[in-house]
Amino acid sequence: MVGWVLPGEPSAAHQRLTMRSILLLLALTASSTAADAAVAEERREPFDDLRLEVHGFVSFGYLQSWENDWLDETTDGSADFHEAALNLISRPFDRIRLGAQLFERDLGVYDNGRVDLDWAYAAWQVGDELELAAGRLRTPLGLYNDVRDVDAARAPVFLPRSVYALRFRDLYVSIDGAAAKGLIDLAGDMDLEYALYGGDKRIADDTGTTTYLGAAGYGEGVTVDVDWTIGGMAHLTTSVPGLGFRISVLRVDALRIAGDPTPGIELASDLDYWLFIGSVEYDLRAVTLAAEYSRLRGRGSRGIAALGVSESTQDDGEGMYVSATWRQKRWLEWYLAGEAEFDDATDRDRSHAWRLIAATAVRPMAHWSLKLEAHYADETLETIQVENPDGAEHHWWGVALKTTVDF
Amino acid sequence: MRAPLILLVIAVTVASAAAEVAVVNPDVAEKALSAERLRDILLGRVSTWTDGKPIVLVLSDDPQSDGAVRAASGRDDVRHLLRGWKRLVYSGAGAMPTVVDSVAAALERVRRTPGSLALVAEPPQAEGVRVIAPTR
Repeated sequence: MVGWVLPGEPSAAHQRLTMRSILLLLALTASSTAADAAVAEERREPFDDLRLEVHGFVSFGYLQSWENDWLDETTDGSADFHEAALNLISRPFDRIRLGAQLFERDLGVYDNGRVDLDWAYAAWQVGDELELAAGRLRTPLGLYNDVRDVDAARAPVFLPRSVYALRFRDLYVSIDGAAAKGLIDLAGDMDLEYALYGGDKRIADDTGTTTYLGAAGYGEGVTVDVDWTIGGMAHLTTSVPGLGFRISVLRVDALRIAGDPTPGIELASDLDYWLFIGSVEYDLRAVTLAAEYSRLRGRGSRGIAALGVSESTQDDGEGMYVSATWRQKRWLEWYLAGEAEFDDATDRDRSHAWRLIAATAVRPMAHWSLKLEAHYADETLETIQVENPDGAEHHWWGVALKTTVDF
Repeated sequence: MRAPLILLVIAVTVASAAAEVAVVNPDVAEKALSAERLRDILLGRVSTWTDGKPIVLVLSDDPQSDGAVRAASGRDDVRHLLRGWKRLVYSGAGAMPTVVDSVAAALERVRRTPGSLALVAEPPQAEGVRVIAPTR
């Protein structure tokens, strides 16, 4: 994005250099922390007394694609792919936990290194069956939405995009509100984890989500607002070791998106959304199998008030995948997944994506991972059309490399 | 037909007798711990003792601990278990266990840290800690 540079104000290139310097410093800090566990242990002594912890991660990646651009001008290759997080967690009193995390991401043309308050909460552990929390909280949608930025949680570079929409991270990742969650023992070896939450959703004007919506037709100055959000998750751990089922539901009331496709002309939409995700995970120790199905249902209107134009609109997105992860060794994992995605579940012939993803993760040390992911797609979705305005190919390939150090 | 069955029962019994144990700091109020609750503690699904004090989990990042972790938590090894904890820590759902590089260091840490628990493959010969064999 081009902007005015005032005298004395750092240029975009200088800002990018500064950000990379910070990331490099964080990476060096993290790697030295991971490399010398004994020293790290001694350094944690005073924090132990205060029940205070500092953790974080830094990652760098590279994206390359063929036939279509994806997230950036990736047919030429793109190194604009890095993430960093720094958090502080404290347990000042029994049953009380406080925490906050800053998160930074550059994903091709999205986010561009912006730093965000990722989560910040105060939690009261009433008992195993109930924990109450308030603040900015991660939303437990599906198996992995609350850990969508956590490389340690998976072998591939990206979660299946058919269920975990890559360009709408800001919309789904958290809420500002309150939550109750807990673990309830059931008969036999079964138990039920649950979470209920509700609150507001705020999306800044310069996020990846607003950038995408701008390119998708809303133009300049995109704003996103909601009235309220509520949701719930229930995860049943069965008496079959490693087998669990989860259902997640999210309700977003009055998601309003507005922007100027041309100066002075505002395009605005206002939809109520339901999102449902059904999940199954079977952890066989060395092998983890997972499958999820998501269904979006949005109803509302869209129009240009200045022209007196308004029409009803609906959103019926659908996605599903199956995946297998094999931990061959302590330091080596393999991943294979197939997924399908449709812009309109009521008319699957309209647009679709079929993708096959293969990945490997090498973890030379407990705090360091190297990942390689390749995917093949047969795709006609709106997202790929938006990122290839001169015409998208139906069949295309992509590769992602990523290395992460955490502490 | 009976002989193999008897051998199987003996094998299971011996395996159970040699199973992993939890080592806790003497200030921990719990006198007994079920295998299910120990699993939930190791997986980060339970974070407080029954008296409300926080559980300080001490993990030994040592391949020798993999067997005990596998038996008690269902995770493949210590590194696999730790990755589950990173999920909690980076999503704001928990605090990280204390990680040391040997069983001896884990026992020493438990001896010094109120509310702490470590998992070991067999009952240790160590002073200043208490051993709880999980009930099944």
